[in-house]
Amino acid sequence: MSGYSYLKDKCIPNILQILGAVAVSSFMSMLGNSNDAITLLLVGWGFVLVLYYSFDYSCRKRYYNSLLESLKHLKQKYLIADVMEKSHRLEDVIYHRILHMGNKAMLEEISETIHECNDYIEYIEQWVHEVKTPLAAMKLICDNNRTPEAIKVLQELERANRCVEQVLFYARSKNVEKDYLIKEVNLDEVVKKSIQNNKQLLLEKKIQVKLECDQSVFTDGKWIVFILDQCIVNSAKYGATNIVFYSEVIGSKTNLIIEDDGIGILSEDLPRIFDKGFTGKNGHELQKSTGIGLYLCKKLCEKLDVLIDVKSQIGSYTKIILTFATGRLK
Amino acid sequence: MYKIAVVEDDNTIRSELHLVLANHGYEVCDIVDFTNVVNQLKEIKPHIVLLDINLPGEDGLKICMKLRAFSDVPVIFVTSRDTDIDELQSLMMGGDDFITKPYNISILLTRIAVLLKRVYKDENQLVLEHKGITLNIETGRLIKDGLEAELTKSEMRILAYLFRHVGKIVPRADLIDHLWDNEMFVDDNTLSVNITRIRNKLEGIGVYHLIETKHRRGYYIDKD
Repeated sequence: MSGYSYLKDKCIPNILQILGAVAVSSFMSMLGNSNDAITLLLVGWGFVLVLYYSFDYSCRKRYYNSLLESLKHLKQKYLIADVMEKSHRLEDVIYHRILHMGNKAMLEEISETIHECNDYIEYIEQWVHEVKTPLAAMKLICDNNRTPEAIKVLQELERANRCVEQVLFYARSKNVEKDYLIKEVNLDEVVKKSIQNNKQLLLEKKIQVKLECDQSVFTDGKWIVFILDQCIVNSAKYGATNIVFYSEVIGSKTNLIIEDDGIGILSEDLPRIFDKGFTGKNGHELQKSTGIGLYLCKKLCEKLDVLIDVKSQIGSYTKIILTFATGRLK
Repeated sequence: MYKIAVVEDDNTIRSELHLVLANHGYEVCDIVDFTNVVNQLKEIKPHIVLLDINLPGEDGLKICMKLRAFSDVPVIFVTSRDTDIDELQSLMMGGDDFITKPYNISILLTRIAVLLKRVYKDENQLVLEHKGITLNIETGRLIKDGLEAELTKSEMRILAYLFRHVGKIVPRADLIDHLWDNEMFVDDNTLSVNITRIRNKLEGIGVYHLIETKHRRGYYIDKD
């Protein structure tokens, strides 16, 4: 608030004051008062007026500044109505009440939305667990009757299962804290688990896998398995015939690297492959890409404090590198 | 023969599990009435219990807790709930193992066998025999008339699978599938190489033409 804008705001009372002063002084001169007396009156009047305005201006300025200051320090800015300094001015009181009511309505709306969202997540989790029963039943039936058709059904089942898992992890990625257990995890074990999850796909595409990882890291195994699943599916989708899993220790960090010999990723696509919905040139050509898998990987990695990086050379290889901090916990 | 009680409310899964377990030489008792599971288990006296968590009426965790009051029978939880909390809870209630749906049959069977071996100290499961050839699964030793040969882990797994399916043609795909379940990620060529090596080792202890190759169908060991 500047002095100019303050005076501009007070424009009408100022004009009224000037008109009043003119009227009073002409009235007084008509009554035969001396010019000195009129000047004295006007100076006195002006003095009181300037005194009042400067006092009022400084008060207002202090009030608004403190308000802006507290807003700046407030993390949830919409709570300003609850923390702002009380003012007894009529205008302030009314505006405060309006602000308060508006915020309250918004908070109610927000909490309702959050509630609905959590309800939905809960429903999704429940649904996933429910749908797993018929999937398990189908798998058992196929395993009990291993005809060539059953093996094809098994492949499709594995795919359905992956889709279902993705839904589950997407729903969970919102509040990881609920389902998160850091333990010492052997990389060899999680890699094996993930390979088994994708057994039918790898066998169907005749992809050879090689494991050279025996380090342990502290993380949540289930999430890493999910991330590895996405990597394996991508490798299989983009023409890999070999996938090598290996680990290396660099200082206080452990890297798990998934390297395939697929078609690779264009260098201009590389920075964006973890973006939601990004499919890139490869995805467009295959028409089967959703752009969700790697986005989820990145999101989960962020929550797990794992770095995920990708290196690729078109037509020769793609490497996904997961970096775990080992620190002194060894 | 070991008796396995299956406590599962989904009809299809129950009957298919029954079939798998029966095919692998277990006696299977299904629980179909979920009003008083603990008492039924008391009467059946199974060697091992496969227990679902989500059940009508009492849930699996509670059943397990009540079961533990009078019995140390091994319990494997078989469930679609897969959070760490569920796993932790089931182990705290006295479960011995925890497998999530959709489970892998090979893994389920392996876990059952491991648990049975541990609890009942049964060594029979560790030795397979056919036509006077004994195969020790733990040491990987192949013995016939005093002659011995040592198999590598993957060779042992392959031969053990064939020994368990004597009289049936084992398709290569099934064999590879089984090996992958047991964490051996072999491809077609590696399997052929392994089979050749097994045949050589068998010849070394005087066994010829035990494993036949059925063209385009798989491997076969004759019943007698």
